[in-house]
Amino acid sequence: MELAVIQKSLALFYTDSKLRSRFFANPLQVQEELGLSEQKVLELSTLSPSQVNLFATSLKHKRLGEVRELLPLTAWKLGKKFNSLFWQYAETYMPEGIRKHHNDAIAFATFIVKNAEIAASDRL
Amino acid sequence: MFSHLPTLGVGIGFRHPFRSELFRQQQQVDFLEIVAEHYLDASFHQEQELELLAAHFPIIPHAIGLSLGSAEGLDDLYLRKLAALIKRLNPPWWSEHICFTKAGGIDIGHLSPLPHTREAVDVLCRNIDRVRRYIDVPLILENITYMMAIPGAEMTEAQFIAEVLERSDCGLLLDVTNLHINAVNYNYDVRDFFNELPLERVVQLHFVGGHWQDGVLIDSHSRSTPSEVWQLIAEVVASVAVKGIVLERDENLPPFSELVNELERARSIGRQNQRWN
Repeated sequence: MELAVIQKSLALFYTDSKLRSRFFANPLQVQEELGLSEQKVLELSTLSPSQVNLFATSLKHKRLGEVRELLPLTAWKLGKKFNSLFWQYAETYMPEGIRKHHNDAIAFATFIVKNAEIAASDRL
Repeated sequence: MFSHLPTLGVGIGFRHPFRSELFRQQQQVDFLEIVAEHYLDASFHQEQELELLAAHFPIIPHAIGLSLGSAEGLDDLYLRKLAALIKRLNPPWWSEHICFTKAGGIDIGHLSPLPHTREAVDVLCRNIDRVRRYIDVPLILENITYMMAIPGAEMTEAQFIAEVLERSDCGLLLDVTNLHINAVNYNYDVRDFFNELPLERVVQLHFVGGHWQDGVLIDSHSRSTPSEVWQLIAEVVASVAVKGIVLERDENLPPFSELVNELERARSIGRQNQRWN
């Protein structure tokens, strides 16, 4: 069942930028965390960081596109800020399930509201 | 092998923005492919839409999130809902991808490449066996693009696909664009790839265009079909009794008339080879 551990590691590399950076900086340091054998860690370390980063970014772009479609008025109102807020938010939540894009949109809307509340309280 | 399946002809992946035009130009489209996930937890509106589509076109469900390559197994709830949708539509076949989209509780949200290993072949075949307990409609599997090859391969991609198709006795949804994109990005010859594939298992084709980004050809479904892909389509259709071909445009949608032009070109390739009318 080594494939299950490899797939979990890959899923983490694709979706967790901090883990991805730590892995490519020093693969053996995260070996225990990933539950991989030393041989497999070294094998995975031959993945191209730029290719993995490109894939990880494309995943976020895909989420952004779906969420923008579900929150058109929010996107219109926030303009360019919509994207920058989404990049901050996307690191904090991974949607799942059949209705993942809806769940993503709801979670992002909640994030925007909280962000606005914090900004308002900072101004007081 | 798949000769008993009906010939559907030239189809298009259904997308909301061109719904009205689709009905206006219904005679240009022989069948539709729907993204199955959009209708698994359908609202009343979506249910009505699906009924309307099914009343006017043969429908092929195209699944993207079953994660047939997941070593941890399949999501039961997802599989049951997919089975119910397919039962309701009663299509001649349905499709999924040779990939994984879920692992360790993470929904990656996109088709992710598998390592080309014997263990991955075993996992795919085991999961397909399980799917068949719920869905008795023929399953065809699609080749994907990948932005990185997973290390540890024990065989080539074409050998991997061939092994999965033979052992699981599935048909092939040959995405000609994906094949072209991988060949460009990884610098291999598509004809060598063809030679390793069981082409007699090809049931359906996908085609569209992608775009270049940072020196990489991206499978974005966002451009018209490039000449290299048309050439590959012509080669495949000339040598294989393809049952259907689907334009899979998602992004940067042009006027529907431009999509119809691409459908007409595909139709003419099929006609030249007596594959469909």
